[in-house]
Amino acid sequence: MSNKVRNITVVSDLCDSCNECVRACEKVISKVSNKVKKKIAAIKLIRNGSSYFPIICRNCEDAPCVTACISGCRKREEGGWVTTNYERCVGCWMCVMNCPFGAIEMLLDDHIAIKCDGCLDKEVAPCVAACEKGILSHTDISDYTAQTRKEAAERFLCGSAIR
Amino acid sequence: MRHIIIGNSYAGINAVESIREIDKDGEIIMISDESYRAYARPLIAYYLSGRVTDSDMYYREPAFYKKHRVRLFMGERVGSIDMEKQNISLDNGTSFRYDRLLISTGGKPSVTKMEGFNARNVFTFTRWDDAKKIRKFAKREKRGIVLGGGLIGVKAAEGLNACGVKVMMVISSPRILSLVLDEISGEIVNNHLRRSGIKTIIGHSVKDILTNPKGDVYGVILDNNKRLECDILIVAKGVRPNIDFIKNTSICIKRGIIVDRQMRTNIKNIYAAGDVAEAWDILNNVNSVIAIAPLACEQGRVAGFNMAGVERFYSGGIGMNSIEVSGLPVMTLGISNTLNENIKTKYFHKGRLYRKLMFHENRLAGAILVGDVRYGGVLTHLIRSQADIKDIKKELIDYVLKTGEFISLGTGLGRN
Repeated sequence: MSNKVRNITVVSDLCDSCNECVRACEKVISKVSNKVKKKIAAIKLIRNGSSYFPIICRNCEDAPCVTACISGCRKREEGGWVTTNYERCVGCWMCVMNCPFGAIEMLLDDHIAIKCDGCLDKEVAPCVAACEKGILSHTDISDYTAQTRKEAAERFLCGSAIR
Repeated sequence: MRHIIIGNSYAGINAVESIREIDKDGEIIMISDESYRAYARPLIAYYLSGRVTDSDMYYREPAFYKKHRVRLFMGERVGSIDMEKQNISLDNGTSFRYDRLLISTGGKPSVTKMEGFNARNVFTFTRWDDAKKIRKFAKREKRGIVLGGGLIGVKAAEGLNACGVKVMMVISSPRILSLVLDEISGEIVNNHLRRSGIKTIIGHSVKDILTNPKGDVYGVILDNNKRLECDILIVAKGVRPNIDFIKNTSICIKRGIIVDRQMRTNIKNIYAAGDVAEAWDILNNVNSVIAIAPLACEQGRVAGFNMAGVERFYSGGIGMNSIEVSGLPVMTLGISNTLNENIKTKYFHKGRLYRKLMFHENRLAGAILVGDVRYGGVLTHLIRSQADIKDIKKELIDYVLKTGEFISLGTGLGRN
């Protein structure tokens, strides 16, 4: 049981798809289990209009990947992040069928469903460390709301000033 | 406060976990008619084929019961419930008073009465013990017949096939997995099964079972008088809610136990969850039994919170399944197979790749994915939430017909 509190926040406006987070994640994922033979990451960048958006586990409250897991390989740690025991994952894809964010990657031949387990053993998650633009950060939720509120207020103030 | 939970599988275990999130001191008693701590029931097929070991079968760690302070009674059956006195009696004579009772007894095979069904080499396939017994019989070069082309039938056939048994499936419906697959996907799955070595006879049923003087089954006669021989017979003709022990009580039952959004039955302090319960079905706007593990877990969780005194509501379920047929992933979501004219469909089919979406006005009603099931959860979420998809319909149709690549819905309509 890890009681490390982890928050990975995504602010997508600036992502230019440099892929550093993906490369950093690949190195971690290759070590989660001997079953992982292919190069794969638990984060992917998808095009969203003219910019990109990192898809990564959002660590849902009442996480569907946990309730859907038939083998019981996913669990919520004391610190709050949902992690996986890959030795027990059989590749039934129930979690893939239930993740509303499409944030679970399938290794079809190896029968293993990969998601971001938060790198709880590290002070800073490698994807966050690799993101120079600050799109991925360890801002926690309360800070995040405060920050977005502040930004929205600034935009509003700027807008009214220009008008 | 004493909570009693009948049944020790997905719904029961998830109820224990949510009860303990709230009620740290109350007493929890679990009663199971099996002699194992909670195991992952769908994995019996993986177990039969040798893909998981004994120790990987368990759904929770060995310390689960101790950690959650659960008194687990294994190998015991509940004989009767006295609702006035809030008391249950076990078959062995012991009885317990309850403050809250959860019935999560799951399903049992709905075996048709036919001679020969009690023979030594005839099995159903819903419990770990079934898989263990079958394993002893399933030797190389033996011949096996599986009756039924549903999920359990397919999984049993695959398990036997992996043991080296020559398997023949006899399916009376017009296609394999007929409740969830349409014609094209049924054909793909059937062909794939045959390539993996499993033979299928579709559209025929068994009218007679052949037994030798020792009582063992050695074959079946089909409705077209064709005779098939076998060394082992698996009967997989569906499951039904396991409710025999409450048949004569005033608990309201249709197919399963009727429950409200808080998983309460019509009787005070009695709850039901999982494959035994008839709960809210989002797409059909009625209560129905949807016997799948993810919903059993959700319902169990909701029941547990309510039993512990915290109001939580079940959002309702949809039928959905993810299975792999000899390495070919298949997902069916929501209403995946319907003749309803109000439902418009779009599909893409190329070889073993099949994607189909079912639209009902500006809502997504269902989907079938074969071969490539990535991001199925995004579709599941759109179906379960019955979100208005007007603005993303074009994107969805592009996904079906052209790309199959990730739809950026997660960023917009995904839950937050």
